[in-house]
Amino acid sequence: MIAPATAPPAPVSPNSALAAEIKALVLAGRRDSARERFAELVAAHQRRATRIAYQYLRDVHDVDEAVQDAFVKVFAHITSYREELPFDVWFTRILVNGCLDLRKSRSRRLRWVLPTPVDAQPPEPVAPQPSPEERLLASECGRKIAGAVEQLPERQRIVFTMCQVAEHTTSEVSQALGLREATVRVHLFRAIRKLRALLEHER
Amino acid sequence: MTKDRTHLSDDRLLDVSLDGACGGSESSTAPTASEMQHLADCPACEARRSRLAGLLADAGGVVAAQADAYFTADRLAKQRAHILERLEHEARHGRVITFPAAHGQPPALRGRPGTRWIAAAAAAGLLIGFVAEHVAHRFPGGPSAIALVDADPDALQLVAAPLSEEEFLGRMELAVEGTAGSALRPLDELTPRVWEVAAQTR
Repeated sequence: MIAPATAPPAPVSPNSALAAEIKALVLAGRRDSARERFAELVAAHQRRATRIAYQYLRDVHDVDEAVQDAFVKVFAHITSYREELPFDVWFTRILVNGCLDLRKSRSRRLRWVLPTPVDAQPPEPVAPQPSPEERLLASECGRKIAGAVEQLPERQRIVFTMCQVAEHTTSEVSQALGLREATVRVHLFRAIRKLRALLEHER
Repeated sequence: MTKDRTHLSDDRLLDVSLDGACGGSESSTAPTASEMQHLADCPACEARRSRLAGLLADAGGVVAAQADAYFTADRLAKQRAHILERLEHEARHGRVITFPAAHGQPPALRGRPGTRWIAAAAAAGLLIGFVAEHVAHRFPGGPSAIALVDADPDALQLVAAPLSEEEFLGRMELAVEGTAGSALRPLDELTPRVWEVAAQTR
């Protein structure tokens, strides 16, 4: 579990301002309006959240569950949101803690409880044509890169995802993961060096 | 020769690329004016930087595509709808005023059919507790009374209190990892797991 980290003051981003507005609406008892505004916040963070959660869970159903839970938790605790903390960081911390909890519970379940039969899972609809993402992953270059990313230690992979994919600064990642910023940079450097070593001779 | 000496090292090149990509322009590792000038003047360093930037973009693109391939715009819309449904559902539940406050929390086992057996075990434990108490009162000097007095209060709580599935599994793991569990570990290793049995019977 990630320990809470002290956050330096940051300029208020549009998302933080929206979160503060939602908090005010909830405090004023206007929950319906708050939910409507919250939908905008969900739309703004959803994709980034799924990308981060995927690096922890590697299972689309678990990712879906973790992302949904994180948003529901955020709304339930919106009144405790502190405006001086960037909303992105607060949300990511909740998401990451949720992913870690889910992974722990999944490993317990695997050990002690009979898994749900595969037949009970809803079938995945087949896309009529492969999407650009699927084509990228299926290409030779995409497979090589994915293979190299898989070889990264988890912490490096997650820091890399947060910085390069979710576009967080190293300072935001350090707050979200409860690590020192220098440590985040070390993980990021190592991840990139390893990726370069694995991929550069291919290029 | 002078120019060669001022080539950016690999680490500095990484710093420069990351400071551009991660928005850390105010960090202590941000490129200096002379380094930026060198990058502008030196085609070799600029080529190295653009190669590195390409690698970062490609790797980032693949990492993003791993999740995006499944979470298409349609699925994200469905996910958003689920989230909003859940919020609405919880808001409706929130209007119910429970009394007394201590019993106001929703039962942990609600809505999980797979955990009914835990509720049954808890109920059976409670029943055993009542019977044991009855026997203890009937034979105050008997061994049952001693057993009850000596019993670990945590164990009694485990039987009597309704636990969520997570708490129950957590306690099982703690018990297995504890010192008392070490003697039973060889037996545990011999015991097939539920999923192993399930896989064999399929």
